[in-house]
Amino acid sequence: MAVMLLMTFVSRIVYVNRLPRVRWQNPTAASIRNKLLVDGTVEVVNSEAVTGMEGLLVKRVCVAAGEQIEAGTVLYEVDTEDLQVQLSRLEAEEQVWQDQVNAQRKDAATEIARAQEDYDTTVAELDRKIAEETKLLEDAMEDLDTHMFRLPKEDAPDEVWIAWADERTRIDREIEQRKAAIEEAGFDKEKVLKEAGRNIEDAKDAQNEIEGAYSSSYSAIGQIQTRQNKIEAWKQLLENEGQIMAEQEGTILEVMLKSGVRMSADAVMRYANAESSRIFRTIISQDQKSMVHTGDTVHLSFAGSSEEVSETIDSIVQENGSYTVTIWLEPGVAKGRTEGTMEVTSTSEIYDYVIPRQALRNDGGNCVYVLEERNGILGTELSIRSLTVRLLDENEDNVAIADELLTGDMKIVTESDKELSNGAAVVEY
Amino acid sequence: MDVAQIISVKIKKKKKKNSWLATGICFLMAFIICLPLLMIPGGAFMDPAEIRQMLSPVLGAGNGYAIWHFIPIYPTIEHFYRLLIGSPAFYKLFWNTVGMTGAILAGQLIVGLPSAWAFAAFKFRGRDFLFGLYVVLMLLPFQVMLLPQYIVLQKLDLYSNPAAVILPAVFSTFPVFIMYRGFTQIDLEVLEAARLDGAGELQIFLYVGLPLGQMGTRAAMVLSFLEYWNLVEQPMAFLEEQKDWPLSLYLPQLDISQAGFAFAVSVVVLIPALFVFALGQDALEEGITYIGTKK
Repeated sequence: MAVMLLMTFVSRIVYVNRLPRVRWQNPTAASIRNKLLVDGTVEVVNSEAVTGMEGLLVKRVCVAAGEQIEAGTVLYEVDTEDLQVQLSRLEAEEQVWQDQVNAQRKDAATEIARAQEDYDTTVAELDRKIAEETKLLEDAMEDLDTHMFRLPKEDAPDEVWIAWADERTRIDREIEQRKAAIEEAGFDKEKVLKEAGRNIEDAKDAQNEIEGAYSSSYSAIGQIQTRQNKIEAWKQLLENEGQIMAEQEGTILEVMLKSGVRMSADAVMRYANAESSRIFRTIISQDQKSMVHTGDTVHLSFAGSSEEVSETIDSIVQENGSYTVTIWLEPGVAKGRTEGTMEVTSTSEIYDYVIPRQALRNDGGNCVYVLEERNGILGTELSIRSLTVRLLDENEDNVAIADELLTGDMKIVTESDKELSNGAAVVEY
Repeated sequence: MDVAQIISVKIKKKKKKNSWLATGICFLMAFIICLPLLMIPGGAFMDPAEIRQMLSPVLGAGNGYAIWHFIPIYPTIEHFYRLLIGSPAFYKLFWNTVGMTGAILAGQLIVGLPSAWAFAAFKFRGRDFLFGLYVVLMLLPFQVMLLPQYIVLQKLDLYSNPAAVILPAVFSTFPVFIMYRGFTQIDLEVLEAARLDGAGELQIFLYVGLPLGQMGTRAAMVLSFLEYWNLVEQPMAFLEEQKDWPLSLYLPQLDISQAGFAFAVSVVVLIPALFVFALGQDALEEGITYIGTKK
């Protein structure tokens, strides 16, 4: 009997030590405050591009993506020796072109001057000729007037009258001849003027053709101006010892440049300046979609920065089973940031039964362990019973549950120091 | 040797032959009867996997017939460790049984002894009728008394109380009958002599009756112990709460998958009964003799 008494004591100790110890609490009526934290990216919408200096060799890239730059910050350097060679070649090309154009212009001008001179000479000669004929005509007219005053008397002999009439006829004939000569000279002048004018026009047309050819080449290809601009820019670059500098402050977004590469005229860098617009973009799942809506105010924070802002969701677009949330940021927000976190907080309706999250078990489905008194061989013991529940809502700390058998005075097991199973005897802490 | 002698020798030889045959049959039957008992120690020390392997046809997990190793191939004390160290419920029921059996035996001594002495030592009107009633009650099976006892216990508000098992057992008539038989072995002259010497009735009961009738009392106690130590029906019928159950109801809680553990329980449960049997074997045999003796 003594042995059995001792063994009874020992077995009790062992038994109690093996029992899981649990804490419990009653389900409470409360709302579930959901907090959704989703990582996303900050993207610059209208970034500025730094175009490459075509044909130049990159010596060194001085900035990297994400780097803040100020006006005057060296972005990259070109090889000055190569620049010098390229510049010389370009200037030679420019000089050859300039010489060609000047020669063509000079020829055209000479032609015009020659045509003008011919015109002027011909006009002067014709004018002189007309003036001579006019003078002769005037003399003939005076002779006629004089001759008319020398009209013979009525009784003058016929020979006198015949002589006078013959003289009159001669003078009239001379006048007619002079008039005809003047008219002919006028015609000639007009003809010569037309011809000389055409020659001048032809010379001008030739000059215009040259200028036109120059103009059309300039506008169509822009090679000349480009070359000249390039020469100016390269000269400036040479003065800056090959350093390309930022014109304004901003954040480098992308660098497409490598040392040792000869540049094309494409963009070699992208950066965001103070005026650039930014958007925050993130992807949420189907489950998370219920928590966010277009127009909701969300809280944004950015990696590597203490900056926190509240913004409004501008759009939610479904893509391949997930949703892309887009938020346009105010100017100046998230400068220099590439990643951020969106925090959405929502408060649900008041649920009848809310329990701590750790009280929710998964025993082939959502369930809770209810602490009950059980009459067994050892008398009244505490035991747990699995109760299957429906999950209504949840957050990181609490879950809202429902079931027809659930009551507010049930003791829901929230914590245990050992693995629990349905029907197991337990003790309270 | 005459014919009579020859016949006598043949008869003796035949008797001797029959005796050997009878002994053999008895041993065979005894072995068959004791077979379950012999399985218990082996099973109590047998590894669970070994038990499963042997009993797989019984458990529905194999074909053929179940086999048994009286000596385990992989002996273990796992079942005893679990029972004696890890099963406080066993001790709870053990002490319930000890208390219940002790109370019953004590009650039977307090109630039954005077009754048996009265029947044996005194002649009074209606004694034979009353004793006959005792015998009739003794012969009634429990199933007959179940409903009346249930009603009475309900009325007395004793249902689901250990007293529901103890009290009917205390007033059981069987021990009275055995003790009565023990007391009747005392010669009435001895009692008369004591009276003549001036002894009172209580003195005669205490100093003459109890010592001389102790074999009957001991036999009644041993039989009662064996009966109530293994009591099953009454607790099942009258005790609702498991905490009040006796040890005899512990085994039915175990299923076949816990066969090894059940064997270990059987061994431990058997020990007190064997111990009491060993102590009271002579009294038990004499008590059984009393049952078959008519005075």
